[in-house]
Amino acid sequence: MPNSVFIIFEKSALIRLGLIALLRSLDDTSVAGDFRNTDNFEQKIKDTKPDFVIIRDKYIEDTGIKFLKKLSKEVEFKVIILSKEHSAIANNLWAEEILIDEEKQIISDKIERLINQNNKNQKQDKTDNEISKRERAVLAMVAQGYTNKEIAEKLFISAHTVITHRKNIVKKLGIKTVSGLTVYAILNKIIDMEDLK
Amino acid sequence: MPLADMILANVDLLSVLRRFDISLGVGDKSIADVCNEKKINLEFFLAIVNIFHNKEYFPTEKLQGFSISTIVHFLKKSHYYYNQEMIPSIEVLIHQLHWKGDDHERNLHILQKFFNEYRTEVKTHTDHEEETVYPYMVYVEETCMKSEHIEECYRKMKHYSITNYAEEHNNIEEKLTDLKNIIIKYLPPSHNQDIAFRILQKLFKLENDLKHHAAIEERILVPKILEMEKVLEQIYLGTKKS
Repeated sequence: MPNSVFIIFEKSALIRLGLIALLRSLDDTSVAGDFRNTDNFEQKIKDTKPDFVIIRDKYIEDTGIKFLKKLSKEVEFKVIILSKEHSAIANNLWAEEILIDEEKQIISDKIERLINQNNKNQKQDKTDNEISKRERAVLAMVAQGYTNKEIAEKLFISAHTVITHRKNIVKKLGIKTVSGLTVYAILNKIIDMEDLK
Repeated sequence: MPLADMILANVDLLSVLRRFDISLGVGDKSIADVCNEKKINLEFFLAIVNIFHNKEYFPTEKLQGFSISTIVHFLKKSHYYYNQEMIPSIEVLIHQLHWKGDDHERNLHILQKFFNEYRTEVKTHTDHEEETVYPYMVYVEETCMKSEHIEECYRKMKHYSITNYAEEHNNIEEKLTDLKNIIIKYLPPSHNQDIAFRILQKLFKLENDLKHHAAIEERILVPKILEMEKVLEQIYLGTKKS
């Protein structure tokens, strides 16, 4: 099992120590650092390359949600928010949440679940050159001759996202031209020959 | 060196020899003899043969020393080889592919359709070069050599310069790479695998040939013409001033 690396941003020294003790009690985890504020946040993240960033909810305003999202994609970590009570930020669904008043068992179960999820995803990323459901939908439309703009409108995504999907498809399949993608799509029954415009 | 020994050393060079109109039955004639007989520039012949023989070899300076018309003549012969020999021979093989079961028709149809598109793309590409690009290159060279009608040439340059070509020189290798990937990875195995293998071998050979071809165009012809265009412009602007 790969080692999961954590980094903690929390003002209270007691909570930090508590979290570290709890993480150490779990299998295959390590804490790359714990900090009482978010000074040099980006540098610290990039230096330690964590799998999980545990951060106090009020610090998120300092770092900025957008920035945090971007950074999490770039460095590939998951965000776990520490809060007193359920907060609106976590409702956005992009982050997990730990309530500090909760029992040890609940918190450690949650973290273990997150670690397992992450390991599974990583494994899939490495071995799986198969295209995702979304990419399949984009590929079907590319193969039928739709433009990026048309695809974006039909699938309710931005043109930028369409381009990203297309890049990933090309990378995974090793096929660059539209005609080549059409051949692939027909061979794999993603579209029918009759679907061709 | 006897030409026969060269062929024995690398039989793939036969396709290059054909572009110089050299046929088999060479007896014990040396390379120099054959070139002499056929009025082939020996140095040029050797440079080209060595490029095709040795992947690492590309004597830029030496090649830039040959005239544009000599190089273009060879490239046209290569076009003929691609369009009239190599591509049709692959097409024949594709027709022979056979699958067991219901998918036969579908597989064959999409593969043929794809290859048809590729064939058309190559033909359009080579036609454009032979009708527009190569004549322009030869024209610029002639003007430079004779130093006559520079104004006329200058006006043509303003209309179409070799930088246009360098920019638009599109990549006809992409579809070829796709086809290789499709056959290797995604096409269900045909009943007659020997045919699929032969198609692949030919695709690799064609791809290699096209790489040399593009290198001669982009690394020899384009810089040479760019240089000539510059000189012609300077001469023209100089005469206008005086």
